[in-house]
Amino acid sequence: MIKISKLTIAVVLAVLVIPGLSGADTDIPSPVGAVNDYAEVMSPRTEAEISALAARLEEKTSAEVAIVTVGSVKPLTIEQYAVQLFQKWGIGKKSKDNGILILVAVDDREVRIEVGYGLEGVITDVQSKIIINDLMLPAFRRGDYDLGIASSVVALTKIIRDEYGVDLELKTRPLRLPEPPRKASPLGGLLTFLFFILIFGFRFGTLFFFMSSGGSRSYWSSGSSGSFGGGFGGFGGGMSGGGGASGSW
Amino acid sequence: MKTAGIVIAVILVIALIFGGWFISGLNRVVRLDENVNSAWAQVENQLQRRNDLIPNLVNTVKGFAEQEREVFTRVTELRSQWAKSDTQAQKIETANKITGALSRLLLVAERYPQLKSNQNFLALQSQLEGTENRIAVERMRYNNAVKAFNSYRRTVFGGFFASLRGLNEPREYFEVSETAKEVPEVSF
Repeated sequence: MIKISKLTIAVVLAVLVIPGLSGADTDIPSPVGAVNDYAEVMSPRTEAEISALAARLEEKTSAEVAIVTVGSVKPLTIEQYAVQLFQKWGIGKKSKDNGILILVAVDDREVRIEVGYGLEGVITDVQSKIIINDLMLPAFRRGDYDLGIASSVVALTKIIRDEYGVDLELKTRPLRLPEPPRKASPLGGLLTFLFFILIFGFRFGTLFFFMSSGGSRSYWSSGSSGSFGGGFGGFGGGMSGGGGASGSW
Repeated sequence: MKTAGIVIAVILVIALIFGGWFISGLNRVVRLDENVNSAWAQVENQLQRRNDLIPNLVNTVKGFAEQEREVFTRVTELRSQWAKSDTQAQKIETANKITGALSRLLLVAERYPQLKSNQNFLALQSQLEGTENRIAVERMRYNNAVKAFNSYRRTVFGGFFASLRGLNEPREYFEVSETAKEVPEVSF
């Protein structure tokens, strides 16, 4: 009798625990922080600056930004890859869905800004498209991923900041160390200069370090480790539904 | 006496397990069915959003390409047809037709350089592009929900639980029609 009931339990459990249907899961990597430079096209310095900016945004508005560079998204389209990665990582807070994903497929020469459900009213598709067309694609065409990605993050952060009406420092330190004065590369200097123009266009403020209003913690992780405070605890479980825009260069 | 006690205990345990299994089976089928419903609601939201873009888009294109009347009337007709369709099957069919008609409209627009550089048109185009992508995402989620429900219905006990709940029909997938698949790349 007892043997039979054990068997019954086993059968019943087996029936109850029919595995849920898992969607076609392509090899989407796991997040390592706000910046996930799998294609290795960004400088550590830029990664650190963007991570710090993302951390400030998250603290002030709870919105989460993820930057991902990959080689190729094939066989998926960049839109499909973006929405699957967004869902897997859960970018944005669970109840607010206030996440943004910037996805760059370097070998495919494609980029996508995917906006979480909760930010669709803040960042319209047209705004995403303009950011891609005006800030990202021109830089990517020159192979300058640092500038293209950093300026798009700044632009998106500004839109969110203005919507939430919070005080948030957008300025980052220069992405490149100044060239030795004797023979500055005209192009590199120009790019840094352009980046500053962009930043100044958004907001005047202090040049370098920015401390939180609490004042206890410095946002700048020392050096260029690119790590995110005391380690990355994952995103908040937000969802997206295909909002945003794509572009290719 | 002692054996009787054990027997009763065993029967009780079995009854408890069976009851739990029964209830969770019933709940599961209802939950899966509700998932399909809410996923469909999202699909409909996005289809509606696309329909709301149509008048603006038609008016903008009209200003530059008056003679393409045929395309405009087709899109406008389908839009009102959508408003009248009741069943899900009708809505899916109409939505697929609208997808086809809109892609034809954009194709026509390609022939008018002035229109293509019109700011209003560019904004509408990227809104439409975004909406089509949202529809694709919600359609995928809807189809996943349908797949989960339909597969459960076909398991040994799933069909039994479904029939107890009056859910006797499998849910319908949102298939993209062949014409709708030929959406031209919207290039800027």
